[in-house]
Amino acid sequence: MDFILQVLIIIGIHSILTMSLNYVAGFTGLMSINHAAFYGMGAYATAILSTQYDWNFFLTIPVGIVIAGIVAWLVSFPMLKMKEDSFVLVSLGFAIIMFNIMQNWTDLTKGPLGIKGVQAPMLGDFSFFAKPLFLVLVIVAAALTYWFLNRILKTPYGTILKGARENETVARVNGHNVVSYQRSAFVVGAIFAAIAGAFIASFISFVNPKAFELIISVYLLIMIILGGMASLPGSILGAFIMLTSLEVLRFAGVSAEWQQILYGFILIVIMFFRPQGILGKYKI
Amino acid sequence: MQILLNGIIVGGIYALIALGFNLIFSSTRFFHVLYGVLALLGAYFTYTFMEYGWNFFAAIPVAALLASLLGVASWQFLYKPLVDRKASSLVLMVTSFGALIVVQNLIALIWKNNTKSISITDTIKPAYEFLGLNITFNQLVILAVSIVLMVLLELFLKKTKYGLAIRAIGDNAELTTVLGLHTNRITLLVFFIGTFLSAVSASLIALEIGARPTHGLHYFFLKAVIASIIGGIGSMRGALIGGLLLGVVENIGIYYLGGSWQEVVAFSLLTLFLLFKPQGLVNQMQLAK
Repeated sequence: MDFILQVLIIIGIHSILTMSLNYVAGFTGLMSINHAAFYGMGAYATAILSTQYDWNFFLTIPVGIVIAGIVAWLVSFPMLKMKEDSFVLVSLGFAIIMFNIMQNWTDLTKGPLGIKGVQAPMLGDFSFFAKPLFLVLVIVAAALTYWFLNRILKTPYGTILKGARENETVARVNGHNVVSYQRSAFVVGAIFAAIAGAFIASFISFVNPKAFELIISVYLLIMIILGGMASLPGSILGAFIMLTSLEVLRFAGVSAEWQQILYGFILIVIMFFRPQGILGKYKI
Repeated sequence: MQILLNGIIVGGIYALIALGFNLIFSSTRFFHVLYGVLALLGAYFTYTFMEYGWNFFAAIPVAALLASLLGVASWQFLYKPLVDRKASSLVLMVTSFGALIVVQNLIALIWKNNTKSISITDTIKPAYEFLGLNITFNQLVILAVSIVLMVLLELFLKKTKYGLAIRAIGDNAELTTVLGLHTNRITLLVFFIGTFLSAVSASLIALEIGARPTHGLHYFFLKAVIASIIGGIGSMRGALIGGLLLGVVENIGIYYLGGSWQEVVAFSLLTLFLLFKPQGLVNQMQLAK
């Protein structure tokens, strides 16, 4: 039971990640492979503030949001100079830079050793340490993410985002500054990734750079492609399928290498037979 | 000066990797991510042949040949079916990424995760002194092989009819088909040459840094991409200049900041180029807006 709760919490945290990545990749059309970098920023903000300065969990979230948002805004300037495919590569580069920083800036992040003892969320004297309570908290956060992103996408702003994805020239001819729309979407995606990071840091109570490696971003991308591009329920479904299968494989004693080989194959098979994913609406 | 020399030697390798990458990119117009890990596979083949007691110079061409056959197979069995279905370049790239994950983990399963090092001689030879600069035997080999390969590639592309056909496909693939050239056969040739170049350069660089399963993506592919974008993608001359520049800047960075920041230096260079000169040094194809 405890184990199932734990898997559900992980799925909940990952749905925040996949929904926000889908907002960036599926709806806006920016296939970014650096989502784990922003996820890591949120996690490190919470970990450092909570262990070294004894901050409350809920107060660390805004800090992570601000850091991830500012960094996303800054890096979007060089990154958005590149179109579709090249954008993927540049975002990959950014993911590697961020990983290197987490690994090498040892004064701040303690490097590969990681930071131990991140506190559980507290409201006054009430602690969310128990798994059922934490699950409730994560579900609330995921539901808010869903509600918020769904809400944005229904506004005229969201329509323009999707329009720019389909045909950039038309959007530009209609007088929309496409790059600034894309930039804002990228920043929003980063912010939600940072929120998810705060939760994972508090839940596992340990962060290290390995958890925010490039392959994690790739996994997130596989989740949203599997679940469906440009579909928020699809993102949750993708996270659910990937993570439960991961746990089953781990339980069956399959080594990490074989797991990754399997995911590589899944990716190839989806590309061959259903590039838009299970519930997808947008074909890459 | 010593830093500059080291930079040029590493840069020569980067240029070679970027040349192969550019060759494939300019005729197929998608990012062949698998490229890096096939190059790495070449280095591992060289390592294995040498374990069986082969000479380094005998092992390299055979290993590169094997890797190139895999490169050719990747086009014929992985990408071509998708291209025939008019898949977008993004789909091809994601497929390539999937294949990269598969091959990289197969390497990790077969050769394990630790670093495998290759050396030409059993004893470490003393460095040669030349105009007050030190150059090791390994570096000399790297320099010689990369220059020879670059000259051969240049001659091939400029002087033979196959070279002409390859350049024609790079310019306009449909038109070459209309003219009655066997486009697919030429693409296969491109994949062969490109992978061959990259596998040789991977084996050479393994002399200096060894081989690890993650090098495929983190090292070979990214160096190829950065060098190509800096130089101007699709241009052979650009790949050469971009590779050399990247090698030199990286070595200066390592000297002042330390080796762990190497990748950050490389990507910062890329970022500067994207901000101020997104079309690269030698402008041929418009990638950036």
